Amino acid sequence: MSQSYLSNGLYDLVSKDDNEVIIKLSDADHPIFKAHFEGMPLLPGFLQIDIIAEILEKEVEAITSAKFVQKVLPKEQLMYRISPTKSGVRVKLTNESEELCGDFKLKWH
Amino acid sequence: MSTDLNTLLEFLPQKDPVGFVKEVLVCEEHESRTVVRFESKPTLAMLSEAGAQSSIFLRLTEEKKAANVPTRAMGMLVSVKSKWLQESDKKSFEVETNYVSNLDSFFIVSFTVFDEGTAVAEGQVAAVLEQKGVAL
Repeated sequence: MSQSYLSNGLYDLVSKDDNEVIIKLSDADHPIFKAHFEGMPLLPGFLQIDIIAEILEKEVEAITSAKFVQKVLPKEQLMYRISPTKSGVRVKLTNESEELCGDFKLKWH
Repeated sequence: MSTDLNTLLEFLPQKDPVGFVKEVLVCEEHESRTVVRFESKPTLAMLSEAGAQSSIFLRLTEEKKAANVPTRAMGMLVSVKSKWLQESDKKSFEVETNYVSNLDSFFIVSFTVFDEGTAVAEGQVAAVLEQKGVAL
């Protein structure tokens, strides 16, 4: 797995299997958190999608729907749960408190 | 680019390396057009973020006034849907955004990404904008 110019150093992969991926985000000193936003570091929504695609070596063809329901902060440990749907996959992103952070329906290859 | 439009870039809260809008071409009430650039071939999610950032340059004077939203309001992305229309290896695109609707401070905007005049991706973003005196 190679990381993109944006995600390089942004997270550590904790565990990975076919249906579940756990990552640990870097601290607020990472350039992404300094840029998004100054004084209020949050993981951008687009990277919540690109990180799981990167780890599973997928290319997203369509974002059927992506809902961002909770702010994702530096140093958080996050779990992606992936399940198949009729037309693609559903990816649920939760934090260590099991709070839903994102809910994504994607088509990828 | 006119001096006025150049100045508007200062209001983009996303900074490098995630500030994708590099130029504002059109900044109208219900339509904006920008130039966005990436360091490598962008993903669909990156283009969707570029659509969201470009939407900041919609004026929406009456809609913001009615919703008690400041002219230069911060926004939180709530949802996205988008799709590739055509493959592209480019790193620079034009993005057109159009106001769709709003309910109070919840705004929906559509976007289309163009590679030299050809639409390569399109989608819709929804965001909640900050209201006067109310933190996001």
